[in-house]
Amino acid sequence: MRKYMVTAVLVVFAVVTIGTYYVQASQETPPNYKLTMVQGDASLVEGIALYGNYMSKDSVFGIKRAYITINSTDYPDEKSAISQSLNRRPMKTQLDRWIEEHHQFMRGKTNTSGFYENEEMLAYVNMTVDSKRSNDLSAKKNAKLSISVLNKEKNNTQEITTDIRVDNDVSDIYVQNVQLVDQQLVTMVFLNHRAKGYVSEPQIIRVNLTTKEIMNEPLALPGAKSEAANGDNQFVRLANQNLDHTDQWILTVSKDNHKKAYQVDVTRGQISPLAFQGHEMLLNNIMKAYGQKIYFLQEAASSKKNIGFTVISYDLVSKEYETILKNTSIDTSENITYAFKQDHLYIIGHKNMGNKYFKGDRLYVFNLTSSKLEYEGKAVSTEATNQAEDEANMDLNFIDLGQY
Amino acid sequence: MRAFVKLLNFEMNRFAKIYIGLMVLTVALQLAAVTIGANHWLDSANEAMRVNQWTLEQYHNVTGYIQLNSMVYDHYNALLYFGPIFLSITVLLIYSCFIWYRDWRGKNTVVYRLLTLPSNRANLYFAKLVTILLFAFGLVALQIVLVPLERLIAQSILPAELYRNIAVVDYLKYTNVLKVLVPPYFSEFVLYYGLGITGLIVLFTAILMERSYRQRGIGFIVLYLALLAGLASIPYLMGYSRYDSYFYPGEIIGTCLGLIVIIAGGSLWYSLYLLRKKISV
Repeated sequence: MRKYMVTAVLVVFAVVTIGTYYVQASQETPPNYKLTMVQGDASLVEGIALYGNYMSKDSVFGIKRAYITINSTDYPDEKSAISQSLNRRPMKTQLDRWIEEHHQFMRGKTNTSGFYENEEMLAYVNMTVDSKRSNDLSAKKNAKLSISVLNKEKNNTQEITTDIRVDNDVSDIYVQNVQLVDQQLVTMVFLNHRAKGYVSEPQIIRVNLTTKEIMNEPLALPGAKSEAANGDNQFVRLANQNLDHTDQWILTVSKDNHKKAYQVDVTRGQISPLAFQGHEMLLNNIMKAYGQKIYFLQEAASSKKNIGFTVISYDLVSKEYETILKNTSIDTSENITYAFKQDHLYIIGHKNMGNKYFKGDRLYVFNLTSSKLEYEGKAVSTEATNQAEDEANMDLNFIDLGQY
Repeated sequence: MRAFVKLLNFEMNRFAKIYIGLMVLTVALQLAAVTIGANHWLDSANEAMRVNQWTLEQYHNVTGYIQLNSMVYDHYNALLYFGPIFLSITVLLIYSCFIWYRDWRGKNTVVYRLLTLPSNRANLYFAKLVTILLFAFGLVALQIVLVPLERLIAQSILPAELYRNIAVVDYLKYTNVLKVLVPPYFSEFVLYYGLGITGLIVLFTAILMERSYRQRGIGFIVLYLALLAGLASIPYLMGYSRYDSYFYPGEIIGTCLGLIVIIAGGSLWYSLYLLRKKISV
């Protein structure tokens, strides 16, 4: 028996040590939090997640990313690589729901801005551009436009693919929004030119789903140069929310340290500047369009070094301004994180470590139509013994509504 | 089973001296690295306190806690600390080839006796495979056991006001080299070492092809590796690294796991076939 000693010792040593290590490792779990309602309508936070950092005093590598839902907490870095790639987000996103319903159709379709959905159809528009660039700057190169339309009732898919010639300096193309007007898919795309500076150019592409005719219309921004001079940059942003059916696109264009806003009529492609006369400063704020309103989220310093916020709405039809929320008594600390979902505003304040005035990470949901606070909730540790400490160690910094 | 255990023990004993040498070297160099690192931190703390006329508390307020990982990455300590790990891996890789070829060396070659044993030749194959795995897992276990020892050394050298202990799991999880050697989750341990075992089976297959067909075997090995490269490229063709892949992540991961099983199973079957039917003495 003695001659087997080396083998036996090595087997026992390896199995016991590795086994004990993994049993111990599986028991060391950070605290579990739940998003718990303080007041309001709990249905507003179903299927959403708050992201934050858990900062443990005992751990050297203290900060752990945490995803908190109404049910539990996920620590993505505590999961295996396979588990992470299978469940990237802690809740079902809009893409996940479509994948469940239309498994085949959804293959390779990942840009939420490229979808249009109504009761009859789910459409997806994608545009890619050749990465190769010719030395001849005046030459054109190919971009590929592909449209897939799923007829939900018949469960069949119509595919339209075509090549579009674009400038040689176009490096990327991003589909921003898709609408349907009289059997025409109308798509807003941004073409990014990188020849001399960085210039994002908005274009409208119309696809007639009956005749399959395709038209692309560059949007000439009034008063804006169409080509970048050396070092010029032009950034364009669409303020509309994904998947909302709208007949007006709202664009903001930043150029030469100036911001301008434009309203684009989806049906006619007509572009007109939005002046906000007397309220030009609003352009420096966070801007989101929903229905016929544009909402501006304004951060404003208040007492105790905290930041309060104001929401002002602009009605595209009546052209009137209204202050919806102002001087709320909510403590949002020095930084705020927000998300818009239709006419609801979700908002939390960062703790920003060391802010002694901060009362705790809370999520607030406001209805922007009624100006009412409809939900207030808090990330609460489920471990009664260390509850206060656990809650002090959590810093929320992002709201994931699962829309993208 | 009895024949397998005997063969396993035979293989273990053949490499035991070098293996124990590697273990001793790893223990000695890693403990030395931590001792040197801790003393170096202590010296620099004393120097900073002397120059700035700081108390321990003031020094701590400026620099924060010193931890085990700070010592390991200090100056040349990384070489001293991680060197024996890389050396052990290299030696084991080389021995994975040598474990077969040494049987054919010398006049009274061992292979004559091994291949004429009145037992299934598969025992010979699995004895060699399990030997390499046991050596590898032994080194993994050694590394796990060494961390608490290293913590004790650091703790005994550095004052409590400056040093903060670190959980073994955290240390292994956040140190780049060690988190590959000792993956933080058991599922990853199975995956990583499953891949390692597949690699070892592929290596053994190539060796047995060469031993079976000699010079012609080199050509077969090239074909075999080309086939494996083709199979391994399937996940990439499926868009493994692309976010807008036609295939869903679950399908690609399923394919990867399926390919590992096919490659490991196919190679194992072919190796045993070669050992039983093609290798003759």
